[in-house]
Amino acid sequence: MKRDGYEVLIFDLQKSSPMSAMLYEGVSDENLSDIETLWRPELEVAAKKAKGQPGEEFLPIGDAHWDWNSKVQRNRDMLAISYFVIECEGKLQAIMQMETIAHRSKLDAGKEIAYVEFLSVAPWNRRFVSDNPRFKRCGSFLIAQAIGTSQELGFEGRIGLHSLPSASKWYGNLGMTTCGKDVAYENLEYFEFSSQAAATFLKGGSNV
Amino acid sequence: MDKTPKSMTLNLSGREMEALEQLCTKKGLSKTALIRQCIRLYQAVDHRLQSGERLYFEDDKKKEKSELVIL
Repeated sequence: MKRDGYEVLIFDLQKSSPMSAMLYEGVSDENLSDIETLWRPELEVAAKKAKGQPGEEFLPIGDAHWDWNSKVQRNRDMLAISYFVIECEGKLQAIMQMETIAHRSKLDAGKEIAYVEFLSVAPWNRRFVSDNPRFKRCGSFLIAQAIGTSQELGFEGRIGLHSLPSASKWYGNLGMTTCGKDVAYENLEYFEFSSQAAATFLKGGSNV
Repeated sequence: MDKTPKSMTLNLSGREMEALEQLCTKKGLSKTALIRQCIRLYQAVDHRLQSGERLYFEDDKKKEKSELVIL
């Protein structure tokens, strides 16, 4: 499968230097295989380690049960669902699923937004799961891509998402506005980027 | 995944054009963006209906639910 992609510079925490990676639209079979063979075993170990710990819900493993393969197969031909991945050193480093219909802004009433349904980074890039995380900024580049998709569709960069408890602080640090916990969505905290805040984020980049 | 834009001419009645323009103003979208949105939405609805799901509108206040049938 030929995919559209472009280079992004993520940050290698172990070498303290930028690292070239590729951001692609679409998920390859190799990406799905990486999730099953490389991600899942590490996430299962981390989930066992987390079990019963105080504040377990705030540890970065709330996505461990997500079945990416089923999601991708189910949505394969859907125009309203987009996938983006970041690859580096031949491995999947992060993945995102977006929906571009039927989501309205809470900050700018009545306006359409692009909605980030799922976003995961590789377990070796997460604190707690890894004692020595490898790459930083994969998530930031996927959020930047989500803003770009929103702009391309005429939504002026507006995006929204529900955050797992472990990621709420991170989304806040990106500059997203919290709209509080959403009782209609498992009580997860809901965040949005307004068009102005999204533009600021894209201009300034993020070191998060 | 071919992202090269393809062009087409769209013929609309006066009323359809008026409705399109009103929706564009309301949503803050260009005509192209709105029509692209319609295609994504229609495909998603059709896909779910084909899978055996149903589409309903629900009035929160009256607690009424009505099925939208799309042929």
